[in-house]
Amino acid sequence: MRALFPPWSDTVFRMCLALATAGLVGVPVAMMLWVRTPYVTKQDTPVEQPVAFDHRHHVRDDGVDCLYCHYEATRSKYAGVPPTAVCMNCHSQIWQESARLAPVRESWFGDRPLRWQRVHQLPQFVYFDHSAHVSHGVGCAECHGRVDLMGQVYAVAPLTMQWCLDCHTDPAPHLRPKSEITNMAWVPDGPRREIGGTILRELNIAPPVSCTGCHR
Amino acid sequence: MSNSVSRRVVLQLVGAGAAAVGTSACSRGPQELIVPYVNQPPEVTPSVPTWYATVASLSGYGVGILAESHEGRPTKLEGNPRHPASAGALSALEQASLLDVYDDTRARAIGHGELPTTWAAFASAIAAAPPSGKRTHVLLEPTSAPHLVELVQRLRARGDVVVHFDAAVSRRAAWVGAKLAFGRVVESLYDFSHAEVVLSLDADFLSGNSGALSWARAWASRRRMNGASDTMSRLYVAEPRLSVTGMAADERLRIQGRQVEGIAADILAELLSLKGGDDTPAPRRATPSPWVRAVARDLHGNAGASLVLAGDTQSPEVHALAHAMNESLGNVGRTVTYGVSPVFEAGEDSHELEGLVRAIDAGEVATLVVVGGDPVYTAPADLELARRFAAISTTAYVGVRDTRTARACAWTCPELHWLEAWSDALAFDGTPAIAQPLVRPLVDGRSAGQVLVAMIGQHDASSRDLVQAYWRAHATGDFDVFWRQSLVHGVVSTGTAPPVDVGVDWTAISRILAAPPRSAAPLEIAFFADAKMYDGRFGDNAWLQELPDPVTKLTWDNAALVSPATATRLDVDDEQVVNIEVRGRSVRAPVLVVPGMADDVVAIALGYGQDVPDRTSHGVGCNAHALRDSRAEWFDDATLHVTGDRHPLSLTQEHGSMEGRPIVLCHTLAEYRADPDFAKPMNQRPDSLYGLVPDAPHQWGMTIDLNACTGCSACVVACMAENNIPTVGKGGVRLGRAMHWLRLDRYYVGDPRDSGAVVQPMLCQHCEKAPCEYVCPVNATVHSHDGLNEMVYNRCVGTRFCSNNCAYKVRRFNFFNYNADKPESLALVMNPDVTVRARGVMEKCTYCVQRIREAEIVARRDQRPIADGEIVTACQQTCPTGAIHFGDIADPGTHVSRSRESGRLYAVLNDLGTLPRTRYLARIVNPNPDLHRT
Amino acid sequence: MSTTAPALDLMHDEPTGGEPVLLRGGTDLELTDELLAPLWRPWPWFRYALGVTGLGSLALFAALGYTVTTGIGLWGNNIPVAWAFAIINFVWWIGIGHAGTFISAVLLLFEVRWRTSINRFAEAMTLFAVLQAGLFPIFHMGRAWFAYWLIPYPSEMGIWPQFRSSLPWDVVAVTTYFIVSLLFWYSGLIPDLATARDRAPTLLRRRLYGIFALGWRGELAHWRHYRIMYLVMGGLATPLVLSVHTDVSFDFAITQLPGWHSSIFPPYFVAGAIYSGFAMVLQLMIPARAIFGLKDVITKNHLDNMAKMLLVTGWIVTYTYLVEPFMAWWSNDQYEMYDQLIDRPTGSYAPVFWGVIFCNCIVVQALWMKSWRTSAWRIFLVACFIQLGMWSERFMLIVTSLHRDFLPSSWRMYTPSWIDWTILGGTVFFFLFLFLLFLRFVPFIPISELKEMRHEARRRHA
Repeated sequence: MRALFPPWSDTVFRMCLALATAGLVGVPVAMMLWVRTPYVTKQDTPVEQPVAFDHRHHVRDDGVDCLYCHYEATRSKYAGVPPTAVCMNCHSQIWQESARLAPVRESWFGDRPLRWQRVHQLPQFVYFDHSAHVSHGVGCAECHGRVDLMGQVYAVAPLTMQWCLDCHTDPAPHLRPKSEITNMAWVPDGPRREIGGTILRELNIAPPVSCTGCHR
Repeated sequence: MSNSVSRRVVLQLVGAGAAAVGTSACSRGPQELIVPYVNQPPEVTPSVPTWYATVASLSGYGVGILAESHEGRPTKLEGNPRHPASAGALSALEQASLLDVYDDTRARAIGHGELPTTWAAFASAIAAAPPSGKRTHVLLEPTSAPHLVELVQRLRARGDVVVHFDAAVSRRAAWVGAKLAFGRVVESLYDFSHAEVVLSLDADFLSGNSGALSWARAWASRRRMNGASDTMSRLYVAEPRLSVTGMAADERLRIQGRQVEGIAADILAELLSLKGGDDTPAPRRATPSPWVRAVARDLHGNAGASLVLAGDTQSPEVHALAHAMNESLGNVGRTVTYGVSPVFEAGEDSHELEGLVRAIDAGEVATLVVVGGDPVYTAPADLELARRFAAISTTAYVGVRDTRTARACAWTCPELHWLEAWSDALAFDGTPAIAQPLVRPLVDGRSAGQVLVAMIGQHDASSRDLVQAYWRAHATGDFDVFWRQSLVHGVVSTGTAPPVDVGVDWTAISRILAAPPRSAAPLEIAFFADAKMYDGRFGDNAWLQELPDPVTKLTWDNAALVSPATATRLDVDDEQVVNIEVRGRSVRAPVLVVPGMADDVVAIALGYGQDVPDRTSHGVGCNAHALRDSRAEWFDDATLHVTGDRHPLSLTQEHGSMEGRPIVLCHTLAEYRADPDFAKPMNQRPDSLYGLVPDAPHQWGMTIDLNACTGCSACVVACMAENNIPTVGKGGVRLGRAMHWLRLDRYYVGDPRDSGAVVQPMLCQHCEKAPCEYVCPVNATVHSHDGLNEMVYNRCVGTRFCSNNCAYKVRRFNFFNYNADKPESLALVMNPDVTVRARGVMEKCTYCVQRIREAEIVARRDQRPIADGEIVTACQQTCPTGAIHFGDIADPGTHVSRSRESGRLYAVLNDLGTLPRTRYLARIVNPNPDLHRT
Repeated sequence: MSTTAPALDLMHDEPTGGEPVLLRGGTDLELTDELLAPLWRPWPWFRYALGVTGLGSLALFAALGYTVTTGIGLWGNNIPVAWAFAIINFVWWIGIGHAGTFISAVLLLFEVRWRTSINRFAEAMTLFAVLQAGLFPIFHMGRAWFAYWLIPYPSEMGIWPQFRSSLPWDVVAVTTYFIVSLLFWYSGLIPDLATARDRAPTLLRRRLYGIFALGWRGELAHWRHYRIMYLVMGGLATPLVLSVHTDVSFDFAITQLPGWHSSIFPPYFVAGAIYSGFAMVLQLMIPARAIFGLKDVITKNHLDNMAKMLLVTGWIVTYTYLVEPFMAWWSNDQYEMYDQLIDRPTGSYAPVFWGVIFCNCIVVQALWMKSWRTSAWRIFLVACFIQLGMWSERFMLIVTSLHRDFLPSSWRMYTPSWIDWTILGGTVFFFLFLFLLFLRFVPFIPISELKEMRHEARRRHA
């Protein structure tokens, strides 16, 4: 009776076994890594906006403070993308003709709101409060990075829950003096943990680590 | 996930309000937009709500309101502390009326016949002068709105206009009764805080309208027992059906509605004979019942510190008798004063619908304009309004809802909801207030004032102009200051009218006393204004339809309520359909047996059985209005015919007995005095190997005073509004899937043949040793450092294990995506600070954690501690009797901490060792010993 | 080669005495062909049977899909009865699974000979039963697509499962149980697959069986390794008989609910599991025995022994039924007393309770009679009652305890929806569907072991 299988079939079979075992371990690991990739967390990918707004120009060249436009940040959950009116404060004077600002003027004169693309997109069951952070020594740059160096804004933080908790459980290294909150280029004069530690004590900061601190 | 799309829509509208969508926090959600204002209004800070004071009115009585507005949409209504009729509280009805603004099936466009038309056309049609000999008739709801009253007078000045007022649920009997007793119409103003003994002659003063909220608060102030040495008032109630007030009674007499008059007369006669004096009429009966004698003796013993009230459904005679008792007891000026009725032309002929009917029959009605209400549906059946309307050449209906009256009229015109227009109203004590709109009108409508003024030929007046015009003429001092102040305070500081000085006409009273006692009917039908539908105007309000009746716990239905004894006599049972026949008219209704009902009485709630298609109210319950007769509006003889059919009823509580378990602790005053710490054993911390987890500076806790809770159900609606709680419909409730985080458990107590009821608000007890927490496989329900039992919707996978292990069964599960099948417009009512829960997740009371965290953030921002009373839960905020205390139990100085020192404090199911943070103060009743000697 | 072996020899060797465990004479070859015959011989009724059970299985998956896309609301569940059919079925099926492991592993370690001809049956049954059971923990979740959150893994949310809850352990228990049962079953199959390979009529079949035979050539080394592994697997499987259902019982025992909060649950559940498991083996074996004419391979001896097992486990269960109300009374806990002494025997679900007593405690007593123990059809009848009884017992346990707990205000009745019934019925069909495939394509009587047993017997005889 001739052989049922060619000689190499053993090798094939063993390889299959090996692959199956590898897959059993590999696939879950791969998935866990994948959810942490910038692709999923939407990091580092500049977002196309209806208006070609350049933070580099406004912050560095013109020295406009974050809070001039995002003035809600100190008293509201939302830092707030400014109303068109804020743009027009200046741009009714300067660059009135600029083509790049056409959408802004349309919005202003047509009373149609601008529709910005959200860059930092938290799940909607997360109740993040800007005012709580800004008033407790968490600088804009902590989460948003050096926006002053960004043409088109992109997210630098993964905004995963683990990332939030890292700071909430150990805030000291992430705090800065209130005066430096909006300072993008702040360089700590000394080890951050110590600087943060003093601020932690001054403002007796105790970030919520209970679930309802963020989920309600 | 199939439902993520629809919820996405909701979410965009809701803004921050969110639901855990079927994608975990890690994966890429759809790209979201940020749409800022073009020009942001100065008062608006996104995510920070603004509050406006306004006033709502029901049957003409105004109740002050503070409305929460998120970016221009009202999301919650709370009571205005400055307003006398509210004192910070709000009833279920006013709170829920918020939902009606967003009802996408309400009247939208103005039409003539089947065709769309314009307001101009309508205005000219109703402004046109009627042919000679005929007149234009206007039918309004009773009103106290000063600017409307002025318009009515101006309208009448036209000469060819007749104005009527009609309400299915009105205080006509009370007004006529006052006339009978005093010769003039007055409004009785009660002061329960000085009443030791209260006799309610079928008066549901704890949950009705007009002054109920403030009365309930004052009444409760005499029931709050801080120690055994405290005294408490005693409440006698004689009533045909078990009412909210009846549940709170210390001594209750179950009696047919029309027998109350006899009882009242007996008590008065007894009082007079006790009082002695020359003009004492002969006692009506040789031997008055022991109850009558006991009550009379108790009242007499507390002369000047007692109070007698008559119910709005009782005959004018009963009201007259009540007035007479108060006068002979010397209560006038102490516990009761009299004021001018805020309602325009109260008790006068213009409030009798018969006037209009006669005019129609006489053919002298050229045009009929009905503003508000739904007379065709609510009017006594014998008036046959629908048929009579057909005889009128021009009929017009102006109303918020698309009602049966609208269907009977040629012109149908959307009226603005009270949250959409300017108006004003007087409180029961005459305090005026101005109503400002909270939202830009969602329909092309007009306010009642605009319609009236259009009839005087003024088309373009806005509701704001009209109200301002009136107050400009009547305000004192700088108008702008006055205006701003009135709007900010929510009350007009013109001061209330001085009390009216009246005296009882004893000849009239003795005439009533002389009348022979009426014999009991074999079966009496008692109609009553529904606690939720009122006269039917809230029929399309899903919050109220699903709100359990305070007594029967019935939702999405009304039923023929009978006592167990009567049920046995008539051989009927729950859910059995009977044919109720009254004066040849009949209605089919399912039976519901209610212990505590008077025997030989069948009670049925008004406001159901509305038959306008495509409405929430359509086909819900049966129409009791169809049985009412203009000669006997509240009580009548009836016969019951059992049919073979059954009709399923949806009750939120199916079992009425406490089964002898220590759930609602209830002691008599005597027992309490004998053993002030009787509750202590139910308040012990059982031995445990484990320490306590919570370690934060603040430790939140709640106390509920069962002595103050009346079961009025305002808190349930407050909770629904605050926490985005969905409705599940009749079927859902019947299956046991109602979503209320806060429910009011009602247990029948005492002799089953003559039982009363106790009420217990039941919500998440926030156990320190929570059974739900350790069984959740994914840590979706855990304990916070400040002692809250947290429910994390976005972590929940829906095993429902927590519910199984919850001893109080307060957890609610989203069996379906209850928000998906709701109209989009309802997304506007959502509270953006609370997640809109997805299908398949568990939810429950959170102690309004969004308010706690918000307060914490604000306090930390301002670098100050959180003050006691700064955090108020929704239920606590709206409780008329202040039965709920909430706060930091770690701080001995707080209200809640002090309430926890009471000897009445106990934990439900204390033996389980769950250490609930929600504690109860045991109920103390104050029965009359004379009635219990054996 | 050998001559025919007289059946009576074996009879006397059988430690359990009574009926012989193998009546078959003939040569090894004959025996082999005899037992392999069903694989090659066409079954006229096969495709119909497969069609019916297949449709039933489709109904199951349709119902589950409908539930996942629409909501648990499609079931009869409510508050307070938040668990119902899904969990009842879960416990029932996983229980049924236990008999397989018990027979093949425990009896193997104890070297009980009569296990031999039925163990593969039982193992396959276990496998498919656990498969059914495994569906429910996932699909009863409100958000089944997050079921993986019960598995401990370093999530980007920085959260772990709650290890104090029994449910994450259920995941471990059930998956372990399934994997071990699968390997155990498969390793036992290898020699017979090889035999099938060698005897298969067509090349294709030879190839297919060949692949699954993993190149088994029956060499001495093969047998040595095989023996060791099989014994080790048996050793691994044995503790699972106790651990799996113990953990399942914790789903109830760790709560404080009257009727659940009880320390007797682990043994009670295990006994009940084996009880229903043996019943299921009999329910499958007896018809197969008749259809494939295996009366001399699955002899009266088997039936007798199985019946005795039913009697034993039946009495353990009965004992628990007596202990539970006693403990309730002894504890003097009014909630326990209400549930055990009032609600169960007299409440709205009393018929279920008395049904359980009748099916699980009364009917089984018939097996005291030898005439019943040795009559296939009578045992089959009893087994059916037990199966029904054990399902009802879980209903009593779960629904009756939940529907009336501490606060009377939340008391409510539970009625299953048609989806509930579809899912329950669907799992039965799916189970039979898989079992049919097993009978059709796998040697369902362990050929090599039978032959081995025969040789042993002869050696002892000689």
